Amino acid sequence: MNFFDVANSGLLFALVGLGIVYIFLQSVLFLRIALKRAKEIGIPRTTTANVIKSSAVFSVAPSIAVALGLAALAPSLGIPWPWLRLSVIGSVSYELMAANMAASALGFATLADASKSGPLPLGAIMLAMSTGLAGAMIMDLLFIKKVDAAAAKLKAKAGEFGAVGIGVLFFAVIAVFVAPLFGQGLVSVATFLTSMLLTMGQGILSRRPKFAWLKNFILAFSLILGMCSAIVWTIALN
Amino acid sequence: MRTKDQYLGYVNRIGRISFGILFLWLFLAPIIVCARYDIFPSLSAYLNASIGLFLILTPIALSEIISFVPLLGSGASYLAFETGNVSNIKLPAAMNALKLSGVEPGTEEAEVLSMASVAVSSIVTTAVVLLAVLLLAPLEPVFSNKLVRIATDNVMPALFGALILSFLVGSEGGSVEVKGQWKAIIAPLLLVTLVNYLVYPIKGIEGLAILVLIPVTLLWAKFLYKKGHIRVVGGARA
Repeated sequence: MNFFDVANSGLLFALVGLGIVYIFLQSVLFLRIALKRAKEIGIPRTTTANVIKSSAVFSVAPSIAVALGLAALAPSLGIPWPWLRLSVIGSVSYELMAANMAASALGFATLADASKSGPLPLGAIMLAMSTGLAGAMIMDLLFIKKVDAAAAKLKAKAGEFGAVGIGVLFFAVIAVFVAPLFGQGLVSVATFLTSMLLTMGQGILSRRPKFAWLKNFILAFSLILGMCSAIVWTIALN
Repeated sequence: MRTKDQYLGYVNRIGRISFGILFLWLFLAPIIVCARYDIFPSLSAYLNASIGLFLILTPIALSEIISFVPLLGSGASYLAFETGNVSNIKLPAAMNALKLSGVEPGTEEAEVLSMASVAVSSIVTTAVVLLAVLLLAPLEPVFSNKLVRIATDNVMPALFGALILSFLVGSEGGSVEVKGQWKAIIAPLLLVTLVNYLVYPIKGIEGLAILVLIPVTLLWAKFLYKKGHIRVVGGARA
């Protein structure tokens, strides 16, 4: 029996499939709870409908990038385990690194080497990837409620500045991801600027009553067209 | 109808229970596979492969909880952290949804709408990755296509190019309107740029960088607010 006989086994597919069904049903449950509460507190139906539409359309393009992550991981780890990790708990940027770190700690030069030496490393890699995130999951369980309550208290205490403070928190996220883009080459910078211009153009266009519908899709369209522009910029700049 | 506190208590209970089940299952699945195929690693191999990941990921998770929970709210946070891909899919989707709805983070409306947004986003990602699993073989030429790779490699510049403008212009149509909010990004952006290019590249430690930047951003925003460069004015709720 080799590595991939286990990595692509029916048992692992079935276990992972169960997990995926669980997370899918939980998402549906959370959506139902949110929609019910939205109705109770008087959020207009059009607002919730717009949130659903814009979130669904926006999520398609980055999800394709996740699907490509699956295609990248499958040759080293089989299909079901990366499928699970990319649908549940993990992220496309973290999973490959985690699997490689686990393989390296087991004494293999690469993940590909680990997959050539029989099924034994697979057990260690799967358990290590779960254990690696155990601390994170325990913290989520312990602290989400506490942090949310503390943030609400701080916001109330801050008075009028509370609205500013909570509004600018996301700037920390933006700054951390935007600044390094400028060191990643001309294509990254050009893609970033193209996406900005696309957002601006659609923003102006959506102010016209005829194009008011566009407002819900600006982020999604800018993202998809921005990603496509990267192809054009790569060809033009190389 | 439940009060706000009762509703939040209910969401936290559901969130913790579902997270707890997932946590156990993420260990149970590899344990069942290891038992079935007799591929349990030795304790030393398991610890060796796990400890590095655990030590790297736990502080990153803590920083993500502190950074993202005040923006997402409890319900959305449980689901976002369970389904992963938080900073590249779930958080932008929820922030965009709140922006479109004219709702500021930290309110009950935001808690409900971001939960709906993250739930929809999770359903879409789960569906796209499932499609990729089913079509992995026929889609192989697409996945390995150079142009598709270029587009997906540039998802972050395209995403943040699209996001940055809409968040810098400040909130409109919500319960309050914040004027001059864009100035609050100057200090964090400058600081990240200096650190990233002159001291230490932040790629891979974004979570920790966000944690450091949050107080910097808040203090800078407070300074600007006190000096009158950022103003809060009344607005009509959308």
